Amino acid sequence: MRIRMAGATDIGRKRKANQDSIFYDEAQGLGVVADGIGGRRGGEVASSIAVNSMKRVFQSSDTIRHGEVNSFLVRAVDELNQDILTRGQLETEIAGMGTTMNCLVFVGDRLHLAHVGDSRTYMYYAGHIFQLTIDHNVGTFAAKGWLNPDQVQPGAKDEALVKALGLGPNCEADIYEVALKPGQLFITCSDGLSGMIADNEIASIVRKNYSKFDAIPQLLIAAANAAGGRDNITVLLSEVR
Amino acid sequence: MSMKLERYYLVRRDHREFIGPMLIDEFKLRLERMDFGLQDELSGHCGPWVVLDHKDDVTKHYPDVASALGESLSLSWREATGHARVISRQDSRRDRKKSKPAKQAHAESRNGFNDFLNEQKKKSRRMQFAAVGIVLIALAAAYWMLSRKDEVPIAAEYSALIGKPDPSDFLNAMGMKVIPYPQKYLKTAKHQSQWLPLFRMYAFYTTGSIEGVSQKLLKGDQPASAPIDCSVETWKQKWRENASQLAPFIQGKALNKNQWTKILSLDPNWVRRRPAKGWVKPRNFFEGCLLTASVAIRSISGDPQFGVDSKDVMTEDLVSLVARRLQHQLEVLANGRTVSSMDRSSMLGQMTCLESAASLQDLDSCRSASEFALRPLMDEKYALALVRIATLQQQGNVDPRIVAQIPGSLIKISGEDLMSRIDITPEYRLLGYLTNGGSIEQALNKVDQEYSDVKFR
Repeated sequence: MRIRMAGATDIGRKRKANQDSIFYDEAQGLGVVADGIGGRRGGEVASSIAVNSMKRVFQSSDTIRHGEVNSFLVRAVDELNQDILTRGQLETEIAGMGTTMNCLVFVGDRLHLAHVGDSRTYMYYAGHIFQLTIDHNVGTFAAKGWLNPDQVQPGAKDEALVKALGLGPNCEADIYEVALKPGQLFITCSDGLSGMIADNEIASIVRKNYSKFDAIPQLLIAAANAAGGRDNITVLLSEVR
Repeated sequence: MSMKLERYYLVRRDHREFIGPMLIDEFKLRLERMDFGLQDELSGHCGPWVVLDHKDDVTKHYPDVASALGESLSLSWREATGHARVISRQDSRRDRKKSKPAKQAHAESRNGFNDFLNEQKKKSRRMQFAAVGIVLIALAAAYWMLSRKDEVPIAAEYSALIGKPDPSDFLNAMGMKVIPYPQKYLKTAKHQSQWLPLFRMYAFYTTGSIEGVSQKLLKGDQPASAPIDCSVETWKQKWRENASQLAPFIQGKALNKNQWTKILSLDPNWVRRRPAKGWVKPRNFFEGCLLTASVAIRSISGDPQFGVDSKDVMTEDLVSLVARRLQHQLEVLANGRTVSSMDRSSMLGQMTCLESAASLQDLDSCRSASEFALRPLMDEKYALALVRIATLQQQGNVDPRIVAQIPGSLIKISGEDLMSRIDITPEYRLLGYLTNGGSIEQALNKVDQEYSDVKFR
């Protein structure tokens, strides 16, 4: 299997800073998208730590053999979480910062995906789009019955995160595995995209521009901006060939 | 000419692995092949994730899949009412001969096999039998090898233990000190249907948890309003963290809806009437929660059997009240009645009194003890007590003085329990039927027809 990647990030139309971070490397089979929270600078720092630490941990790992990837991701997420907490303790002005993260690791014929927060990864295949990740926010958890109403702070919005890196000493990521087959396209994005345009619109843009792979991230960002661009927008595409 | 888009589906197995995307025919084949089961989830293009066993959701969002499941699985899926039923994969195997997808699935391999046999026919009939024999032996050997590789003892061997829920006997029977790889026993829907009742028994008569088995799986398809985690450790934490709020609740001065107030105000008669599928002892998740909550509070109270924790912040009086309340609830579950008594000056005491009442006089004496600010809660308890008293008899007419109390009680309650948010509609309906003449037999027959899962007798 060969993996082709393309990505882009944009500040959007309303925000004064871009708190999203992105990293991808086709040769290594690694892609990371993070969306920071916690004040202007805190969010930037947190998402940047998530992406850079994941890159460092991944590259310093001797071999990530098939079968060990999931445990590697669990350890890596824990390490990232500690990095963010430690940085917050050192710099009080950014204490309390956090970040979402979606990390894609392609090994052999499988994708391993670590997910925390409300950034999303979709699978696009033959004109169909499927949301792989579950949003870790109040609205989704309450709808699924995973949160009792009395566990929710009064006035909490549906989009308030219930899980993110840096929010506490323990952070448990959702770890998924996907058996790869040619034609699959994974779309990883911050909520600046998924919160602005509907899933079927994302699928439609990808379908119409499938031959212009490298241009798709910018086209999706343009669509999100056209819809209001209320948040930073980051898109990472990974195609299985 | 417009092309119709073929529908692809994606399956999420065990909440962590995606299978697909696949067209409906491949879906049917892979379901037959048991690559996934009815406990797994499915999504279509831009659609929600639905559990395959949730018939209504599947039918609503993915009618193609619903008809495929009805066709290739079994009558049991078609008959299943939502999430109440876990279908074993044995059903799918049982119906394989009948189902078209199974025939299609094996057509190719059968053709190849038949060609081989025809060639043999030309040589000699004797050779043909020999070939068939070899193939059968090879298949038997392969099956034996596979079953050894993934050996799962038959739960039926341990079913005798269910009558006497003793976790140590269960473990001894398994020949282990602990359950090292519980996932091994829960891989498929069939294994889960065999083993989960035993695992639940083990968990809720010990610590309320099993390492490697999620609380979500232990809880199963119980109402969303039920607690999320009923391990002993979680209970200990909750008792300690909420110690300061306990006294106002027990005295009926403040309504604080959370896991521990819900469990304390839970009517044990309601729990007793609802044996759940996949549960034997305890009979449902709520009873499991009461067991573990009781163990946790006794450990805090310094019971030498459970040890003392130096971090305790609850006073002995409060701990004792809570422990006695839980003891009453468990006694009702075990025997249908309680032998414990509680001081009726506290709200917990009055609840206990109402739940134990056997006559109208008992009810009156309970209510005359004290008046609490949480009046609606006590009104609801009074209505549920009327249900219990009425169903103490199984035939004839209920005492007219009790029937006379019902209309006044009905207007004060709804189909949902005020505190625990559990469904009390069957109890509500039973009271309603009783107002029409007072025949308990007729009322029970009607409620039995409407709510066969709820056992009033």
